[in-house]
Formats: sequence, structure tokens, C-alpha cells
Amino acid sequence: MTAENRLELTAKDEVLFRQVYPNWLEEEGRPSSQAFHPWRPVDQGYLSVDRGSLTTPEAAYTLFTDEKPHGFGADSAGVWGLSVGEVTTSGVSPWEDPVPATQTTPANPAHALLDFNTMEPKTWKKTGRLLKVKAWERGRLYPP
Amino acid sequence: MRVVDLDFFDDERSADVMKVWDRLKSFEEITNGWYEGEGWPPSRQAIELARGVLGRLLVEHPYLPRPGVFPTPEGGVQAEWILGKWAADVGFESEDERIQADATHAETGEERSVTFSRDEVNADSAGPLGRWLEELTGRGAGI
Repeated sequence: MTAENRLELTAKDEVLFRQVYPNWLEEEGRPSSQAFHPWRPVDQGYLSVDRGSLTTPEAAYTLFTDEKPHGFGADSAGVWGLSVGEVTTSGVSPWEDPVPATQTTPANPAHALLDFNTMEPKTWKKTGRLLKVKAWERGRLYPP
Repeated sequence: MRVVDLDFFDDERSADVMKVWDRLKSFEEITNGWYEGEGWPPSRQAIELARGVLGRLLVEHPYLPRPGVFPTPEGGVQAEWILGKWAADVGFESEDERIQADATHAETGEERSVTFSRDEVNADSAGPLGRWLEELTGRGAGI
């Protein structure tokens, strides 16, 4: 996962879609801040999102959760949104990162990355709290 | 009377406490690798600590809303509140004798952090944590 040689997203009103893992959603629809910052070594300081200018919350959810090879076969409790402006104000850099199809997974031309490497890792949890508030204020985008 | 020992009790917060306890109970079903092959399930110690502290906290501090409660990949439990413009997390980790609380102001980015020992905050006494959280709401001393 890398943002090198990609274009940074600058349209501040573009909404970026974030999938939230089922264990990180309460029944009343409150997501955990843990869903809004990278925590795994494999993440390398990046968080996956989808671009609202290229897909919809429903299409992003379907592509993420459908079984391979039609989708990525991942679990999601729904889609939350963060604007490019909210992300950059929090110190995170959003980059386009279209994903080509492989033998087992489909293409995702709307894929993008939130790059947390502009900040010290010890600040990522704080940033996750900030982004959670923004996403929570916007509400779950899909399912409605 | 220990909150942690009670299944049912007569308190206006009993519904909130039971929801938190039911949520924590569901964590016992989480298995190793629960997040795309990574992540430890919450330990019994972390669940029990969260159960006792959060139960005591809600009963003793009626102005605090019920938190969101989530597993952490490190095998702990994290309680989360949005209190006005503050987003607050309290972590209960299995191997850690301390309880870590952090909050961030959504508009200014101001951070507040405090660490409690289990002597200070436990199933019998959640006062210091409750006062710290209530200060975020503007109801505590010094606000």
C-alpha cells in the first residue's frame, strides 16, 4: 500500500467513504474511533476509503462486501463519510489510489488512501477521535 | 454493594448498565483474528474490569451518557463518549494495571489525558474517572 506517484485529493467538499467493521459499531449506530485511524502494521499508516465523486455509498458497500471475485469479500457494518476538507484539517493527506482487478478481486477505481504518515504515530488515535466525531455528525450513509 | 456482583438492581441507570453489560458479554464470543485475521479477543480480565467500572460509573454519575463499548485489537475494551465537543476514550487492557483516559476537543484539537490506577478506579469506586469525564461536559469542578 503506497500513495507514491498518486494525485492528492483537493476538492474539499468531496466526501470519502469509510467502511466500519461490525465489531466497531454499536446497535445504536455509534462507530468506534478505532475505525478512523490505522493500527495494523500492514496498514503502513494508511486508511482505505472510496471517493464520493466516483462511487456511491451503496456501491462502495456492495463492492467491499460482495463475495470474491465480484467483490472484496470483507465485512462491513456500513459506510460513514468524511469530507476531504475535514480530513486535511485534521492533518491527514488524502490520495487517489485506484486498484486494478486481480484474478480474485475486482477493480476499484474509486479507492483512495488517507495518509497518516504526515504525523507522528502517537497522534493517530487522537486524529481518529476527531474524524469519528465528523463521521458521526454526518451519520451512516449506507445502509441509511 | 458491589455493582459488579449484581445482575439486577433498582436504579434509574439500570437499563443503561444492562446494555453495557450485554454488550460486554457479547465480546466473549469474539475469537482470535477477529479483524481480517488480526486482533486478540478481549480478555476476561479486561471485560470484568470494564464491567465493574462502567457499571459503577453510570450509577454514580447520572449526567454521563452511556458509552459506546468496543473491543480493541490488543485484547482490551474501549469505552467511548462524545461529550459536547469532546471525544473521549477510556481503555481497559488485560495486562495493564492502569486505566487510560484520553479526550480530544473536536474543534480546537486540545487533548486531555489521565491515567488511573486500579486502586483509584475500580468496581467499587469510579469517582475520579467520573469527575474527569464530567469536567468535559462542563458540569465538573473547574469548568
